Amino acid sequence: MKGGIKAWNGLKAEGYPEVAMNYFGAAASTEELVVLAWLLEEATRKLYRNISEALRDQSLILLFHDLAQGEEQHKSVLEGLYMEFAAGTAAAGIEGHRLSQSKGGDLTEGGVRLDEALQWLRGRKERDILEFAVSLEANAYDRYLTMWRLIENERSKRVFESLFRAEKQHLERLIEAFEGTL
Amino acid sequence: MGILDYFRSGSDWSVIKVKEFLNENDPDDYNLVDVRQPKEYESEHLPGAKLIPIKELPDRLDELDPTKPTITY
Repeated sequence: MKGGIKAWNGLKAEGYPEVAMNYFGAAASTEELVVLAWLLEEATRKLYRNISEALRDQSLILLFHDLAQGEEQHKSVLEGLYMEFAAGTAAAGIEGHRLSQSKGGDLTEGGVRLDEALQWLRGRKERDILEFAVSLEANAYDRYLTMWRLIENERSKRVFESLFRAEKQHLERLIEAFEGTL
Repeated sequence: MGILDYFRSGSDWSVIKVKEFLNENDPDDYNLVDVRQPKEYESEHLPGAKLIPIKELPDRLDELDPTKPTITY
């Protein structure tokens, strides 16, 4: 690419692939991988819900409400995958899984802790909030895509493919909204 | 398959062309490679880019699909 990354004026991500590997490395099986992904979705849903409640602009409220709904829908997809992979042996579902209990769902998809994100967002302008969300989704897309490439297990690959494609759609909506503030 | 087989054409794509290409194509249809140093990658990289420092490239060519376009920076 002419000019290298210095010439690049598009989305950027940060951090090593190992960041995602470290997080998902806690999973001993595909079911557990799904649980960890579900926890990220849940924290991100909470974040977007909080943002939508703090905004005044109706179109942005609707956008973040939709994004929170999107995370909710994706949680449902993951719950379906979990039941499929667990072959009906997980009666308690994802929320009853030991990882759900121990991890607590406080890390968002971009790798930022939910409480820290909420604290940072307090009192910020709408444009800053959108920029933050774009950055968060870009990192989430990067990490899910990286995991999709690294993982060889076909079932696990399906999980990450579903995730990175969803993040790309979220990114497109957020970028459109962000560009509308310029 | 040698290293040059990955980089025969499109060696001077502009940022605009790369953006268009990435938007129009599925991540499964290309290799996007960051050939800088790990610290630089950590600081910032194109989303979805694979880190292969240029010194390691000759030994890690098997990680790239030679049938797909390869974009490096």
